Amino acid sequence: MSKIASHVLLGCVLLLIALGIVMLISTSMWSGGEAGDTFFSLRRQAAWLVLSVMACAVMTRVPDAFLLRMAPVIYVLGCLLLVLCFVPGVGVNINGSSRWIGLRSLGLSAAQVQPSEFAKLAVVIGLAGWYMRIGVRSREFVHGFLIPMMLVALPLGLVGAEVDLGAAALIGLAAFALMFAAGANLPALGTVVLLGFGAIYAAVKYIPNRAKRFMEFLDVLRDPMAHLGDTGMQQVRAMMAFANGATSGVGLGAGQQKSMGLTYAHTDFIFPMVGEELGLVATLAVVVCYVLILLFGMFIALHASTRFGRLLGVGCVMLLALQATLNIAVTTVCLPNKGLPLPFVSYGGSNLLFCLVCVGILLNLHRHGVYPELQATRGMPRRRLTPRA
Amino acid sequence: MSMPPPPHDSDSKLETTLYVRAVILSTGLAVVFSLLGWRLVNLHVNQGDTFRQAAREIFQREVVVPAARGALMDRQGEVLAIDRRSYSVVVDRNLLADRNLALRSVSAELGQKVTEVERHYTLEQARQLSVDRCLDLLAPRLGLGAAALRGLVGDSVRGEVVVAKELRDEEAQALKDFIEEESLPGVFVREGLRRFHPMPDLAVHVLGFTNNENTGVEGIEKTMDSVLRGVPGHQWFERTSKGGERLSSTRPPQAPQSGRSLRLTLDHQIQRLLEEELDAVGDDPADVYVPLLKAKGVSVILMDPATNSILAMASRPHHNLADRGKLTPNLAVSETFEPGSTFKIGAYIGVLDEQLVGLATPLNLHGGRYEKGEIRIRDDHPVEGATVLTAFSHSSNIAAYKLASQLGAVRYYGYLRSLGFGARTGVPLPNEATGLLRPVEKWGTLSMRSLSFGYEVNVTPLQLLNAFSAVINGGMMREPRLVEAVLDQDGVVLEDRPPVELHRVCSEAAARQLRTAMYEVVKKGTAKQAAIPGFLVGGKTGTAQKYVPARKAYADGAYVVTFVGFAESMAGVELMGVVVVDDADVPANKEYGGHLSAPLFRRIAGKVLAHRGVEPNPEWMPKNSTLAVDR
Repeated sequence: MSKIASHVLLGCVLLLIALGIVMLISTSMWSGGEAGDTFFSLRRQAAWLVLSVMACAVMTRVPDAFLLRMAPVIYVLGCLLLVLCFVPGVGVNINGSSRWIGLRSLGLSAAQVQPSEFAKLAVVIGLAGWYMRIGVRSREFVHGFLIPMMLVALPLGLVGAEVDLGAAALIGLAAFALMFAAGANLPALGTVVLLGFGAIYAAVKYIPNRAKRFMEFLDVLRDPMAHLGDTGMQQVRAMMAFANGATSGVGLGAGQQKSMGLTYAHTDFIFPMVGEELGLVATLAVVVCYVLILLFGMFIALHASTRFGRLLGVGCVMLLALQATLNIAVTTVCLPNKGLPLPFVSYGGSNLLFCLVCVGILLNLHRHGVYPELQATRGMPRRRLTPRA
Repeated sequence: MSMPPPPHDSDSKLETTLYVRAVILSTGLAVVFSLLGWRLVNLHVNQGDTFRQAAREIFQREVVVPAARGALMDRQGEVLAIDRRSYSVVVDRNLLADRNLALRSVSAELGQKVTEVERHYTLEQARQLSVDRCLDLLAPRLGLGAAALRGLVGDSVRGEVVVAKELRDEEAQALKDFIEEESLPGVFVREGLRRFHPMPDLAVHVLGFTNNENTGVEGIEKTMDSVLRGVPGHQWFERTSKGGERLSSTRPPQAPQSGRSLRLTLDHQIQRLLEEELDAVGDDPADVYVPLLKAKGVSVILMDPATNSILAMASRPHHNLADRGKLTPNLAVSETFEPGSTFKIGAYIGVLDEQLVGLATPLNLHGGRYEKGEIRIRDDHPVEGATVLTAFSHSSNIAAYKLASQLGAVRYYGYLRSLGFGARTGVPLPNEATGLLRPVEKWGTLSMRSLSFGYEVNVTPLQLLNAFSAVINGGMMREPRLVEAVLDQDGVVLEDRPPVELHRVCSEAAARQLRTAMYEVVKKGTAKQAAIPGFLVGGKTGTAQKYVPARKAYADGAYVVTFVGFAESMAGVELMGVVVVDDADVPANKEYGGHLSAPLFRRIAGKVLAHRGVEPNPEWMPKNSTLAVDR
């Protein structure tokens, strides 16, 4: 198992990326938009893919000790980039959210990055670094709970202020999982859970857009058909897409929902498109892929050679798995709609880059991991494993 | 997973915690993933039907292909009503407000890329721009104001609206090209069928018409709707990912089945002659012209005696099938009136059938004034030395009463029912009135008197003619025939509808005797003006005072005047007809059936006989005509 862990992980990731490309071709036939350039989106995504794979390869060679040393820097950088979103002339506002930074000023026209993607990683690296540093004091309230909470709160607040609640939820959940794994005080964490529910309640109640979305969501669950015309329709259309796909799908490119009504078909709502065109077989396969990534990623993380590595690995796996969970839960109408891409599959460069960086980190951890079954006896020199993939 | 070795760089208890909690996290998330998997099974398969159905409704457009309605033809095969292609313009509001189509349309209009449009306009703005552009371009082509068209389309984003109807071929083609050229989203030109009447002013009451759904709502279109209507076909279109439409791959189209056609007994030429006569205004002061009568209503039915077929049926007032302004009732079958003297045939046929009298049997008519208890009867045309024949030809009320009394109420009533009074004739026309003929047990002391000369009874013109038809044709009661045959679309006869004989009213001898009496009416009696040179004409006039319900009395100046008669050549009876004029505005002493209805019948029947090429018999020319009275 230790041998194949990285192979399985990488295999699942590649399958999902391939699915993403296929679905992008299928959907951009309709919404590629720009006259005369059906493959505009495809070309752009391919460029991001090349960049992301390179980043992934680089990360497999970056020692975790270096990441540990750089953790404070990475964390601060992440927060700074988030602040940039609010700087006029740099931040780009789309649909009322300022979650993008335009690189036009840096000479890269028409490219935007979402700093929240980087912030996710920055929070995980920062937290893992912090817990590594404080060692056994992880159980203490101030060092093991209060300070990490503050470390999380700053970027979380910034992302929330961008009105990118999907990313905020993901950062919050992943950080919470990491704190839980690092051994933080359980009663304190329990209090956080309660506060978290309180915060969600407050958000639903006092942020007008949220309140509306939430009520709509409840209504969509009760009477899906009544919401075809309004903003709740995305999720209703998603349900229709799944239904239309049935067991084996209507066939690639034959999906109807993407052409008639399902907006964001190639980004956040790619999963229903998979469901419609390839059917239950494909959607279950996708879920299985994520479960495998979760289990083997966790296996790799727990066998990392350092505590920092283990914490970092758990954080990365949580980021990937939680993002997948949230996206699937939203597109299957188990949670209200919030913008989160499906890791590896959705169209969008920043997210793909960040996800493959996480994979790179895990592969690196696997190379330097400690596997008792590969050692004849305890105390023998550690053998380094190099993934062949 | 096996337990990792205790690491060297940390507290081992903390590592155990990490391990345990990581396993808890993984297990928890794995469980969540399994639940999502189960949710997927539900969405894809278990609950799928509801959503599949909804998706089909949204993404599959069902187009009902209307079935052509069967045609209505006259007995010569001339088309009276037929379905013709017509086009309508339909706006699919779902497509009109579609996001992607709107973005494309705005991007094409502004010459910007779709992403540019998306950046500069909210979805709502883009949609509004696109809808405005579409409607502003479309409105002038439909001859509508932009505001009017917007009002028609409304605010909803679901369903279809018809914004223009009944376009001709070339208009429809021009619009199709225009829509294509400007790529107006959600606007379609749809082909449909519309009822067309080549002769829209002919037999309007008989033919009737269809509504917007091409369902018959009046006339024979209504009564024979189930035969005429076809089975509509269906086509399902599904939207393609490019925004166009194609025939559904999952549901094959069903072709429509055309309805069956009817060949009516009407003759469009005879009907035309009749309609023209009813509309004609000549300058002969001695003649009667319907438009000058200022009558409340005029109704004429012509029948072919051999088959009891209705050759023509027309009423005034009438309407036009092309514009269908104010609708008018079919007086010939749906309106009743008190028939007056024409109803006397009931008493005469009874006594002749039972051989209680012969035509030459003398009758005491009491000098035109009869009084017996409550019963007082006056004759307008007193007859000296009367026989049954002269009493009939001069329409004596006293004779009619005495003959009816001779039969007795029950037998008299039996003959009246037998002649079809108080019951529908069964002609396939809507709203046929039953008329009113009270059963004997409801008769009052004066009922026998009133009935015997046609009061206290309501009949339709068709009932009256049909009763006379039985007498004229030897005593056999038949259904009035309006449908000759049911045909398929290619004109092949599917079903013949032969004349239907109902029952015998009287003996042939009695019928022949009464027919003879009817000749006498025209020859010497009240209907001299019905005579057509060269033909034997028989009939009976009727003049009934109108009952005014408000005053509960009979009006002095208001009459319904009737003539029922037939024309005979050497070959036999050629034509029968009834003329009913309701409440004509004519000078006093001209109000009798003999002065109004009889000459109308003469003119109409004369033209029809001439049109049919029936040879007049020179021996029957007026001067030397004699008539043998048989006993």
